[in-house]
Amino acid sequence: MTEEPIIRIKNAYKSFGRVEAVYDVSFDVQVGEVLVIIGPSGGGKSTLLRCINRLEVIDKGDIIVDGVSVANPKNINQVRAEIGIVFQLFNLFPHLTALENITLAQRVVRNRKPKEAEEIAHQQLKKVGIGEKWDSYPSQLSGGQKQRVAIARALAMDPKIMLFDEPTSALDPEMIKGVLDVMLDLAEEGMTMVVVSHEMGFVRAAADRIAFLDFGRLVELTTPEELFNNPGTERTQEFLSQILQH
Amino acid sequence: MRNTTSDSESDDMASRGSQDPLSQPVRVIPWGDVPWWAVIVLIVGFFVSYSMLTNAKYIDALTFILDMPWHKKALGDEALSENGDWSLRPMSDLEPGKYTFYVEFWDEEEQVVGRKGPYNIRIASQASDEIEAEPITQPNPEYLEVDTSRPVFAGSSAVGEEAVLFNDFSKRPLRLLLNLWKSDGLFLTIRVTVISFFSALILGLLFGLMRVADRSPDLREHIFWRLLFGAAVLILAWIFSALPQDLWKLGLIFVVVEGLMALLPAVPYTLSTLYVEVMRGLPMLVIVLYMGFAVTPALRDASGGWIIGEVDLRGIPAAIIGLSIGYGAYLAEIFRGGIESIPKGQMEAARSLGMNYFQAMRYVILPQAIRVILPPLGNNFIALLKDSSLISVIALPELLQRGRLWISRTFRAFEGYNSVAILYLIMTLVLSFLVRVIERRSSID
Repeated sequence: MTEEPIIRIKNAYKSFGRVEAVYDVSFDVQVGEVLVIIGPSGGGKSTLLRCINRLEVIDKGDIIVDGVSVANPKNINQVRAEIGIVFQLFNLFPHLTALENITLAQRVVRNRKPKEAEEIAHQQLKKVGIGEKWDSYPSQLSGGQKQRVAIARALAMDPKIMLFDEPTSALDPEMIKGVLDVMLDLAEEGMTMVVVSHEMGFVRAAADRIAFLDFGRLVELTTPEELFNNPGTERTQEFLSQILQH
Repeated sequence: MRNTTSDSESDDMASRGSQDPLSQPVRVIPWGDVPWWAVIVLIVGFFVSYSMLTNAKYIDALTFILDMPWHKKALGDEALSENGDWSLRPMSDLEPGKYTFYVEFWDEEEQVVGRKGPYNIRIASQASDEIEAEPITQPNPEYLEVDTSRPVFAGSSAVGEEAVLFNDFSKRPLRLLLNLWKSDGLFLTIRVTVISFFSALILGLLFGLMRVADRSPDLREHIFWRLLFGAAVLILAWIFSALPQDLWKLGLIFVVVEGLMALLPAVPYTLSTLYVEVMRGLPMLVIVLYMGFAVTPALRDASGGWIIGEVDLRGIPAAIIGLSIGYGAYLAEIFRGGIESIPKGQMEAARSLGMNYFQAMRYVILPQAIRVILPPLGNNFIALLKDSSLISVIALPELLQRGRLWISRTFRAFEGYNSVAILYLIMTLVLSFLVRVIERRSSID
């Protein structure tokens, strides 16, 4: 018996004017799977990720998340509440403390009592390793701490899926490890994750499958071993040799 | 001042020791250092106000413009008879409650030469003006209960030419404040400014939110339900025979209503842009005149039907409506600017957590936008305060109008306009100082 995939992307197209950001992409993500999307910049990785929770609306095709079509949803807010997303630039709410950042959506969207929401927020902050920073405003946190608050904020909603949009690209090198550790722990717990990242260490350690996207097209979708040892296309080879050179 | 700040800051740091310096609050004196020119302004201001307040003409002008005194209100007057007898009655009905009255006797120059009172009266709750009451002849320190809403006072005076009946609020702070708030001159200006500004704020927020709406939305979304709603409204109107019988008129109404329903998603942006562009394109003076002499009189003439009765918004309401819709357009642009200054990622983050558009606006975007727009809002409040002088053209006795009235009585233009100017200046200088404080505060964060 094969399990129903939690994300099913069927022939998705998305273009911005003449630029085809996503072109005829189809794949499934199973429950508990960690899928990493790699590819050159401008290749449509982020756009595809943002299409999954309808921050961008696809032009053609369909994306089905947990049985609901994101292309034509009845209530997109219900779907979004089940999908956590972590942005490259954190997008924390600067007027709220770390704790309030995490409790806001819980109270407003999940209708949790303030006390319950705060308890969950403290738990999540401890889990990402900055339990003592709950009362700080984003401007008082370092990049790595901000990104961990952002992860905690997404996790507090008890999402079924977590999307990561280059979560470490805006961080100082020494901050990256802490964030990746949190993501690794999450992957080990069995969270379904779609990650846009070029941290090859993380990719090797956590990825179940890797999708290589170029010019909006899905060039290759295989396991890490297969991709690193025996890339299927010349384009993949070229890209890997570029990023793995040093 | 700067030195003291940095000293206390470093003391703070030392005493707290190894704590993270990032979590330390930044200490800044909100008004910063007092600049040298402010000292000069204060000294000059002191001499100007001193020479004004010791000059009888200025005192007379200011008293008139401020519509003073505020602690008493004349209710009626009467010339004394040959043998000094007088009898006074309030010109209008009084609400039930406690009152303190007294009677002043004036000579030909309107100087007070005598005084009688206090008459402490409690008007019963079922009082009516039809009850003929015995005249009250003696002042009474204890409250006297009467069941007429227009008690009569009578007596005889040896001095003066005229007797004036006053309602005295000096022992009733609430009534005093209310009378102050309702007085003409300075407080009419303040009243109109404050009320107009707050209604302009509501209009501005509403239209500002509409201005940031999608300018080319997907018209196909839910079109069936919108058209159905339009049809339902039309059919209901037809059932209640609120529609004309002519076929071509019916057709026209059908096309207009269903067309509007089809274009509904585009209405917020279009409507708000129209409002903002039209209102910003009109001089405030034209808006005020239009409201005062065209719209509100026409509204009064047209109303009076069986549903809501006569709607008379002439006078102060017309001025408030004019100023608020005029300034609503400016404030809408400020709100739009503030909302658009918040990075797109904030809305995306809020929406991706499952909040709907309005929750994201309410909890994430607007709280941040408010900090950005507080200084320009303050500046617009000052501008509105100054523009409120325009309502003198619809004959409202606000600050400028009272000044001009005083001038037309005394032919002293210098003293009159100086008094008007100084009153405006005091208010605007204080307000712009406050705006600067707010500006500093919002730039610290």
